[in-house]
Amino acid sequence: MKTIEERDFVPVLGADLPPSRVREDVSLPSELVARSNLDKHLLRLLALHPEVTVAFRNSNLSQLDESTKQSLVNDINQLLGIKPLKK
Amino acid sequence: MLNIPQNVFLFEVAGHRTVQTPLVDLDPSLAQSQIDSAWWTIPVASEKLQREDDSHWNWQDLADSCQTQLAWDAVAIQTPGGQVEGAMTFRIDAESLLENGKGVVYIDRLAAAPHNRPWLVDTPRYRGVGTALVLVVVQESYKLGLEGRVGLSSLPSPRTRDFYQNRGFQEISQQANGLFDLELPAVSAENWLRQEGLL
Repeated sequence: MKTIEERDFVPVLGADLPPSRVREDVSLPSELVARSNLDKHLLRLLALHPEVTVAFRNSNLSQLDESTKQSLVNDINQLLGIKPLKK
Repeated sequence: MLNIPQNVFLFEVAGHRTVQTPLVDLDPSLAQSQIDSAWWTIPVASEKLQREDDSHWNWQDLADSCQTQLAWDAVAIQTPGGQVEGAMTFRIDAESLLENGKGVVYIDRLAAAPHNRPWLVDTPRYRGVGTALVLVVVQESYKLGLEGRVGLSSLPSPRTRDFYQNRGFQEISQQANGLFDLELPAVSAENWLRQEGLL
């Protein structure tokens, strides 16, 4: 990996994802409301990993406090083997 | 989870030093004021600017569409003075082209401000803008359990393809419109995160 001084200048990148490459098994309907980045992350984890069995499955985050949501994220991370990133 | 605001590292060319710059949510208002109305006003011949692949993009519309879709995000690197040095949109619901049944985070749009492009100006302000933005997506992919996999479609220029291949992306196919599909495999993503001290 190059040092930051050596890194290339960025080129431009832009292309819509072809509809054929959108995952049909990932459902994030527009009715779902994320009031925070934590909400968004939790809803995305649940949508991406339906195989994870957790007590909470109705996607209604409004009844949970922030610490409960964070605990849920931590449980899902442990089940999926997602290590916490440093920094 | 995107930690916003968080700092990313850029290299300030004139000062020859590394600086920390905030990564922020790109909302339509910021996109309009600091990208659409600001990026293309640099003192460079208009013909030259119009040849840039992104000169016609409307970041306000891009940011607006991200606000209503939970699978989408728009972020920007914004200096404390308010200027946006680079921006990106991405989505989390794309299929991997390398590994059947796996998912990737797909980078939909990414660009540095024209004043950071050395083929447009003599002394760009910052380098490392693109690297910083791609690294944000690799982290997000990892934190979402997609093992750091990232997909994108590259414009057909050697400069662009080299940029991604130097970071471990594999070229997979060429589309009918000339764009190249590239993907960062999980093993390359993990290597990159380790080299950055994140894992």
